[in-house]
Amino acid sequence: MAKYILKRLAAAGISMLVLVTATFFLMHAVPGSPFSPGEQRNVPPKVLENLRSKYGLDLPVWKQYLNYMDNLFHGNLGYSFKKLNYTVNELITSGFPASAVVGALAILFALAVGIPLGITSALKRGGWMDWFSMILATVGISMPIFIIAILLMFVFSMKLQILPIYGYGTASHLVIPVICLAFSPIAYITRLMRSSMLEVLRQDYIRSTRARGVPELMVIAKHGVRNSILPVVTYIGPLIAILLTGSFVVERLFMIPGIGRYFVTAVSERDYSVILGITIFYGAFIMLCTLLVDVAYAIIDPRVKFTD
Amino acid sequence: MNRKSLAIVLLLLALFAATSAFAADAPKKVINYSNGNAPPVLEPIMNNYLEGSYLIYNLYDGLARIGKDGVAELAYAESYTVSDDGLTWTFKIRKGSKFSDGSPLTARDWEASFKHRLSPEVASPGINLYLFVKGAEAYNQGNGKVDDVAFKAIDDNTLEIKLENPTPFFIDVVCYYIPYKMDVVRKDPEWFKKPATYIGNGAFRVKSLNPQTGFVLEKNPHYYDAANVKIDEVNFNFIDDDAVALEAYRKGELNVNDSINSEGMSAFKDSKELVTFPRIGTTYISLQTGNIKDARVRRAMSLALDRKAIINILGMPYIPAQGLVPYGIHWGNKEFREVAGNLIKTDVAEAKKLLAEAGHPDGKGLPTFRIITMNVQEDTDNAQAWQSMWKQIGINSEIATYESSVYWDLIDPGEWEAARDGWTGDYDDPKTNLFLWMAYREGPEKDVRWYDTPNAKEFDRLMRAADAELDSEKRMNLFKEAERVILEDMPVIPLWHGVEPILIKPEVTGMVKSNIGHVYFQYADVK
Repeated sequence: MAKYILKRLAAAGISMLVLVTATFFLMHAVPGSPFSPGEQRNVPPKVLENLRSKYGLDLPVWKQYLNYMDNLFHGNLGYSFKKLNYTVNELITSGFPASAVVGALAILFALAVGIPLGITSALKRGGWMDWFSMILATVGISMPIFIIAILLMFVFSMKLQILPIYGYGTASHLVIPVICLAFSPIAYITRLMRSSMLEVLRQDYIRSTRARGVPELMVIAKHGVRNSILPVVTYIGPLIAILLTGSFVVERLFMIPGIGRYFVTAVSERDYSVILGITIFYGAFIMLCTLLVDVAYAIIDPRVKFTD
Repeated sequence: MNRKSLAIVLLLLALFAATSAFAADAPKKVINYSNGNAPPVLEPIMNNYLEGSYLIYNLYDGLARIGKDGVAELAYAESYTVSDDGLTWTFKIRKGSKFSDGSPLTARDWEASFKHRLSPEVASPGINLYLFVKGAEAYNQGNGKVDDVAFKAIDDNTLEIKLENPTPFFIDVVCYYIPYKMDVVRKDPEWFKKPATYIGNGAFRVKSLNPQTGFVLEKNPHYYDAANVKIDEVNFNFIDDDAVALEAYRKGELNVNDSINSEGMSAFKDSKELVTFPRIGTTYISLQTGNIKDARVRRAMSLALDRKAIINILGMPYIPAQGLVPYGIHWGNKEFREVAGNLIKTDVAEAKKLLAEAGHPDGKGLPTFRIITMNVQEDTDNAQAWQSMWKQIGINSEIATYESSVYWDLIDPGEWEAARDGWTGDYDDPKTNLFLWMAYREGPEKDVRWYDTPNAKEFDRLMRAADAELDSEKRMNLFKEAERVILEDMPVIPLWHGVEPILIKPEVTGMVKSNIGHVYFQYADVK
């Protein structure tokens, strides 16, 4: 298993290299730059030149790339071009905790609601619970997150006045963002759980377990859930990466100080180092999560073996 | 726990509650404020954006400051003298001045701070207002020595500043000359990220900060005028979405909202809570004089625009432009605009006549003009209005929209005929609005960007003559003539003069917005 993990890490390293290189050159190919003379009009051209050379933007692109890679291997993501005198490392470490708290709560909430909902609708197929979960899933998958966010804001903050409109810091600030982020994962998890549960319930071993007189609760909890949860685990890997690294829409609407907000503003401002830094962070996170999921398979499903 | 001890505990609790109720101070006076997005730059020395200035000038005061009525008055300087040639300004610094950590603030600190900001290694983009000082430009651009920059502390309480040109509005400028705690700035490059080292000298100081969500400011007890500051705390919130800010204001989570979209404008149109302050800015259309060579065509394009109609479409309380210099700029005791008169009119018939004279009756022979604009609702609505108004006189145009960073890059090479643009000045003098079209930026031999016509030379000559003129009446007349010359030539079509709308709850009084849009909390009170 150790060998398998090492091999996967090596592959991840190569993917990262490709990711960084592609992002770097694509970014520089897009028109627009961090210090445009048109925007900074009251600035004498010479001052802009000083600024560009301070940030190494006066060098040819390939040299900028080599410098960047050199810094990257020393764990340094460089300075932000727009939040002057802030490093990208700083922006990520200051933004990640907030994104991670909201994301982790959303994942837990999604699992806590999605799995039981999926199981009950599989057990009572065609019942009202099944219909309810079906409606919820369709709504959750098809409705964009900002509509859900604004609806929840309208109902809970403005009409009922029980939750704050925006901000971060207390538990009440987290309620609406977490529900928003969890909404579509709940829908997916419910559908995944339901269909794989139905599949498992049809298996012979379930019938024989029941025949041996094992209590129904044990049949479902021990044999049913354990065997049907694999698709959900697969889905959770990338989901963790997506939710923990922050959602732009939710962070912007609710003013959560996470990294999702930095990312999109960085793209429109051509803040090269922030774009790259967050891409790298995000890429590494996704690779790590998928690796963890693969390891988790082996623990849940004894049939999975790591071969070299 | 037996009954007796329970009774004692309850009694103690009651006692505690009662005493703490008595001991409670008068309620804190707090302003909850938002002006939209987080400022791009939070480092005071590197700031060159309006949003950053809103915050910074509540944390720092200059030699002068913006007073209650929005006009510059002396602050850390208690008096000053000007030499007869108008070039040497000597400021007497208040004795006993302190930074917000209580340490002394002397003329030497002011000198060191100004020179630091100008240093080429610091590469601050926010040095525009420092270039009035002799030797500043040369040093900043790497062609001069720091000792030749004419800031000089004569002693602890006297600061002498020598200027390049006589600058009658210099008191406005020194509002923005602010001091830094240089030993901290030099020792700790992270100083502006922590409240303990974020040391200023303004009415407020930093209590806590988060670069994404906002700053909490508290009253600075060491401020020289602290006795007159009534507000205890300002929550300076960054809220990206105007709609969210509007709801937060409606719900009372904010009591001053400075980021109003058109929805907010129409909702509060008839309310006393919507206050507008004048702003010394003009929004205009830049025309590419290299592509539209005939001034008559450019003038016709201006005559075809109905500015009132455009402003109605946008739903904002702007003032239709009457020239390039906006209201709020003074000529002695009068408004410059009222003395110089209205240079802009709408007249479709005359526009058509001008086009015909230029050899393009009904637009015949003119190519389709390219309008470039940013992908913001107000700007695209704006561009569509010009398009249809120009269509009336036979000029066809197409609109291309770009995101802001591409837009500002495109505007320089000039692959377009018309572009939305605008400028808000820095001080109460016509130069602040007119200097943009001077040729000074790249040396006198090269004309500035897309304004390149024979008349541009005359405009430049008048502006330079005004710079050298000591007599204020003659100086103003030179600006008046310069404005007339440039609008005759019409490389820009003025659209409207800016205003600063702000929502203020009735319990908040004394809010000040200066004529360049900065907000000041130090004169406010909360009932």
